[in-house]
Amino acid sequence: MTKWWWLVASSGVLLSCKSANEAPKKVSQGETTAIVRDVAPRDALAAKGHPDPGGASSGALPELTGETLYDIGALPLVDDKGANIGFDVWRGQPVLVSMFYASCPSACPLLIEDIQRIEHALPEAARQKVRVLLVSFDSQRDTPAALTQLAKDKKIDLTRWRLATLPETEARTLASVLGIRYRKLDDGEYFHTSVITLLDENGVPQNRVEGLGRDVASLVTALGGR
Amino acid sequence: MTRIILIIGLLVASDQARADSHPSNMARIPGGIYKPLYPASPAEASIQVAPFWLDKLPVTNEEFGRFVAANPQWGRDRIKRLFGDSQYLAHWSGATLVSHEDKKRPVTQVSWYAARAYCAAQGKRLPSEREWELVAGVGTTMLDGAKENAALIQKWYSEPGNRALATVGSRKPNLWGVYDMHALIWEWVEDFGASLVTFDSREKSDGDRARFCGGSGANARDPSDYTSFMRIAYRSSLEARFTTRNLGFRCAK
Repeated sequence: MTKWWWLVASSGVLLSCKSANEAPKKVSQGETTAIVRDVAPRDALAAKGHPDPGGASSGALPELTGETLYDIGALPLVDDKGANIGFDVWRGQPVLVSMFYASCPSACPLLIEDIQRIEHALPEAARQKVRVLLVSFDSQRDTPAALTQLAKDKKIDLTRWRLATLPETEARTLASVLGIRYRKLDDGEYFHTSVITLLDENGVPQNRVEGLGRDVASLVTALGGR
Repeated sequence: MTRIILIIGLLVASDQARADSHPSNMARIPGGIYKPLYPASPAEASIQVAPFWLDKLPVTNEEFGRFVAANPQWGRDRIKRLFGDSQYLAHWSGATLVSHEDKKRPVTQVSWYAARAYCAAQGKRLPSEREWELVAGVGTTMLDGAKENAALIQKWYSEPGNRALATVGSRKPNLWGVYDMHALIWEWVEDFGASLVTFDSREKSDGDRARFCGGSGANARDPSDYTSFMRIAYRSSLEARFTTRNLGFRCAK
């Protein structure tokens, strides 16, 4: 049931985001909902194997399975110093992990600020324990130099943050595991969703916040803040 | 004169070598222009797709069984929950046991992670969405298969989904020699979640708009092309670990 409404809702969101001056054949949100309902009745979709909500997570993020992400296999991360690091670079500490790209004009600065907001909301002892891993899907442009510059610009504390890149295939793997969707445009920019995931000391995802400028209280609490 | 003959000979030989160097069960896709239903930007109303190779048939249960035998961590009872939901390979009777009837049917109840691992083990990869859609647009007798395919898909939608799947390759292939692009199964692509992703930097609050704003400023190329819409909507609703009864895949190179 839940997945069905997500399908309809996403088509609704699709249209609600359109600008006002559209091509003559504009379809309203209601019409699209009707199209989806009439042309592809729920039974047909469900029968054709539309994902069963009973077996999966209730939102658009992958289910928290209690398994550690440090077992997902070798990820060839290259950090801001050009060093090869493992995805479990911060094993033993709680880690906030997300994905971005350095030349991102708006979303990624907001993402970094959101993470910094979480840090500032924590008492000192908790803040000292938290680590951050930000992985770029733009290994072509996000060289170690570019990442170092970004860290400087955004006043990122590289003793507790690590910025790194992944090649295309592995970036897609990590994004799928974290529930992040992205699309590389032909001009080299990326459209992407933002999800901040908290991993515990063993790399097991505990909590997540999706979107930007959102309420991060749940992550703050999970990290020992109030 | 001898030099010309030599050059022609070399060209023929290299062409033959190229043709021979690929498994016989892949079709050579010449590439072309793909027009997405929801272009990410006006500049992407037409996308050039480079030539590539695509499996002529979806991967079968039998083939996937051989992969699992060699890679037991992808077995039905061994797979991590991160990589496959509880229905992964549910229709198999054991770790690699496939019923005789299922052998030549397309493998389903496989996650994106499993599909990718299979393709990687063959030295291949999943096709991208644009690659898949380019091939899907072709008909059996004409390059533009839009009408023919829409009719076939509508018929498929009207059938009960729990009917047994046909074996692969039971229908006519399209003009490029590819079978079963429609009316058999849904298929995984590498970038399945990317179709409806855009970002509106002004949005900072409320619900889905901050998370995921689809098609901002983009027109649907053809709002009546609901089979394309359904495929995009279906793919966008998937998560990588999902498995379903009618979702399989094929590989590309």
